[in-house]
Amino acid sequence: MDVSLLTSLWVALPLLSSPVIYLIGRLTVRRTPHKANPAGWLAVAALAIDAILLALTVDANNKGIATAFKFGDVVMRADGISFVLGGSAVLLGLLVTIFSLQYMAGEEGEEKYYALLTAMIGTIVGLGCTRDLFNLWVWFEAMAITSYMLVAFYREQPASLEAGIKYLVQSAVGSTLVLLGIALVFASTGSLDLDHIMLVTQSGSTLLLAAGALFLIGFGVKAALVPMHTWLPDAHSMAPSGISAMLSGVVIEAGLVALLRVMGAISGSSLAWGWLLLGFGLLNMTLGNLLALRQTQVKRLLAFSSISHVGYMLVGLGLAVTYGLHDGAAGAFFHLITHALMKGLAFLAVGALMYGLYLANHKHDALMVDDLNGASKRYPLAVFGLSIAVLGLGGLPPLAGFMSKWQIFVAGAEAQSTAALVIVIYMALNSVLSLGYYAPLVNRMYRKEPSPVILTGKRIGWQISLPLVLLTAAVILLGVYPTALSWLTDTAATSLLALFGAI
Amino acid sequence: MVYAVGAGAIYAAQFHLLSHSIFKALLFLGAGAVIHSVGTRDMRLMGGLGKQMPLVRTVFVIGALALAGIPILNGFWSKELVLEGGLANGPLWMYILMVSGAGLTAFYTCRMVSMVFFGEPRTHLHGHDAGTAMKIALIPLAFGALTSWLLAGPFSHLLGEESLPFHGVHTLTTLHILEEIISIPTLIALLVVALGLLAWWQRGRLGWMAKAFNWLGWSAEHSFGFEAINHAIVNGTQATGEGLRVTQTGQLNWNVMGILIGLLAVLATLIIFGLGA
Repeated sequence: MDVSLLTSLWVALPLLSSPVIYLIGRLTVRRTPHKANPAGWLAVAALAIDAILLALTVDANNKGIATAFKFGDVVMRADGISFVLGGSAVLLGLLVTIFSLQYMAGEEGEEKYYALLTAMIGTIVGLGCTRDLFNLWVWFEAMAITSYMLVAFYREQPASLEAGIKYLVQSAVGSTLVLLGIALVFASTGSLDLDHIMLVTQSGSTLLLAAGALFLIGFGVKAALVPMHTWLPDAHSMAPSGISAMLSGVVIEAGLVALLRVMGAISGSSLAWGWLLLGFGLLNMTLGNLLALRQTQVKRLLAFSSISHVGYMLVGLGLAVTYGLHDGAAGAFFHLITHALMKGLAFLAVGALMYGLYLANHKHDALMVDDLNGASKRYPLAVFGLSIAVLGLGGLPPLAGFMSKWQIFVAGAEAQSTAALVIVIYMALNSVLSLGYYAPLVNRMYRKEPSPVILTGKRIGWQISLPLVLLTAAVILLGVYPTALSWLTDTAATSLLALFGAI
Repeated sequence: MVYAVGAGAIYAAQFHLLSHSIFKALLFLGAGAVIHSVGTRDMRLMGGLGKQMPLVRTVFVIGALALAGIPILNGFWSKELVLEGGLANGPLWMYILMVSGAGLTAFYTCRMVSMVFFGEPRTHLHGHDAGTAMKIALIPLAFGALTSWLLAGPFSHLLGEESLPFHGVHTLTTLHILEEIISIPTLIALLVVALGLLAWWQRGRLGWMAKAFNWLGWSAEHSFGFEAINHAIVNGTQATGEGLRVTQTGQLNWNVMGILIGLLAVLATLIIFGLGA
C-alpha cells in the first residue's frame, strides 16, 4: 500500500472509531443495561488495528524520510518525532485499554471513557504530524479537551472534579498564550507554515522573541514546566489510573513535542532558546524530586516524579539545541519512550493495587505509601512491576531508564563545555536523590509486614495483569538491549535537528 | 603497592600483592573466627582469648608477623622489595615516610594481637576454638604466609615473560632475588620495625605521646566529620522538600499566578540575554 495512505489511515483510525465506540456502547447499554459494555473491546480492537497500521507505516517508511499526506487541503507530515510520540501513544494506549477492561468495568459512562481515550490517542498521533501552526493548535486543543473530561471522569468525586477544573483553567490560560503567540508569528511573518516561517525568521526579531516566550509558557503548561506545573499533581493523582498512565506517559510529552515543533520554526530569532530549555530542565528536576521526596500518596509521588523526568528530557533537548548534539536529542527521545513505558507501568501497577484494595470494594480512597506495606505477599506481579518501574525511573542499570539517562549524560560530555558537564553532573545527583523516594517503596512492599488493608484485598484479573507483564518485560529488555530502538530515536533526533535548522 | 608501581618497581608491587593477599586473607578470616566466637567486634572487650582458642591465636600471630614485616615471613620479603624499589627510584622523603609507616604497622599489629589474645580477659566473653571448616581455611593460609616467598623466582618468570613482557620485569631465581633483598636498607627497615615493637613494649613510658594524639582519636570517633556532613545533607534536603510544600498551594489563583511569573521570567531572560544573539 501507498506510504501516505497508510500514514493517513494510522492517524485517522482512532478518531473515526471513537464515535462508533461511543454509539455502539451507548445503544447496547440502553437496550440491555445488565450486559457487559462492548465499548472496551471495540476500543481494544481499534487500537490493535492502529498498532498494526503503525508497524506497517514505520516499515514502509524505513528510510526515515518524512512522509507527507493530506486530509483535503490539510497537509501533514510524519517524521521521526511523529513516530516516537504517536507510537508511544498508540502502544501505551492499547495496553491501557486492555487494563481498563477490568479496572473500569461497571463504571457509569464506560463507553464515554473508551471513546474519549481513543480520541485522545488519535489527537496525539495527529499532533505529532502537524506542520503548520493552525493545525497544531487545533490538534493540541482537541487533545486538551478529551483529557479534561478523562481527568474528571469520576464526576461524583469532589477531588476529581476539583482537579479537572484546575487542569481546565490552567490549560486554557496556556492555550490563550499559545494563540497570542501564533498571532504574533503571523503578524511578523505572514505565514502559518512552519517550514516557511523558519526560512523567513530573522535573528533578533522582537515580535518573534515575544512569540517564543508565549509558546514556551503556553505549551509549558501542558508539558508541566516549573512554575506552570501546579495542575499536574492533582490531575494525575485524581484521574482513573489508566488515564494517569496516559497523561504522564504521553500527554505531557505531547506538549513538549508541540513546543519543539513551534520553537524550531522560530529558533533563528535567538540563541537563547536552548539555554531556556536547559534552565527549565534544571528547575523541573530539582522541584519535582524535592516535592516527591516527602509525598505520602503514591500517585502524587509518581506525578511529581513525572515533573522531574520532563526535566531530564529538557536537558537532553536543550543540549541538542544549544550544541547541535545528535546524542542529546536521541537521548531525550529515548527517555521519552522509556519514561512512557516505566511511568505507564508504575501507574498501571499502582492502579492494580488500588483496584484490589479499594475500587473492587467500591471505595475511592487514595492509595497511601503505608498501604503498600507487605503488598508483595498478596500481589506479587503488580509489586514486581511497580518495583521494576520505580527502579528504572531512578536510573538503576540494567533497566531502560538507566540507558536513556546515560545517553543524555553522554551528550553532556560530548558538548565539551564546562557548563554542560556541570548540568549533567547535577542531573546525575538528581537521579541519586530520586532513589531516596523510589527505593523505600520497594523496601516497604517486600520487607514490611502486610497492612490489614492488603490482607483483605481482592484478586486482580488477567486484563490487568497482561499489560503489567508486557510493560515489565519491555522495561527490562530495553535496558539489556537499548539499541533495539536506536533506529527510531536516531531518526527522531535527525528530524529535531532539521526542525532547528542545525542540519 | 601503589608506591612501588609509582617508583617503577612493578615486580615488587605484584609480589607484595601476592603476599598481602595471603596474609590479609588469613588475618580477616582469623578475625572472623574470633568475632564469630565471642559475638562482638570491639577489641576493647576482648583479651586473653589465646588460651581459649589456641589454633586461631597461632595462625593469627603468623599473619600478624607477616603484616608487620618480620623475617622470614612472606610480608617481610615483599615489603623489603617495595621499600628498596622506592629508595632506588623515588625521592628520599617518600622513602622515609614509607619506612615510618612500616614501623607504625608493626606497632599497631602488636597492639591488636596483645589486646585480643594475651593479657587478662577484660570482660566475661567466652571464646571457643575454630571449627573444622574454619581450620580448613586458616591452616593452608598460615602455611602460605610462612612459605609463599619461596616462589619469588617462579613468580618473576610468570609475571615477566607470560603477562607483562614490556614492563622490564627480569626473570630471576628465588635465591638471586632473596640475595638482592638482603642489603643495608633492609637493616634500616628492620630497625624501624623493631622500634615500632619497642614502642609497644614500652608504651607505659610514652603516655605523653599518646596524649598528643588524643585529638586524632576524638576525630576518628566522630568519623572525621563525614557523619555530620551526611546528616546535614540529608536533613537539609528533607527540610527543603518539606519547605517547598508551600509552593503547591492547591489554589487556582496562585497556580495561574505561577504561569504569569514564568512568562515574565522568560521575557526578562530574553530581554537580558536573547536580544544580542
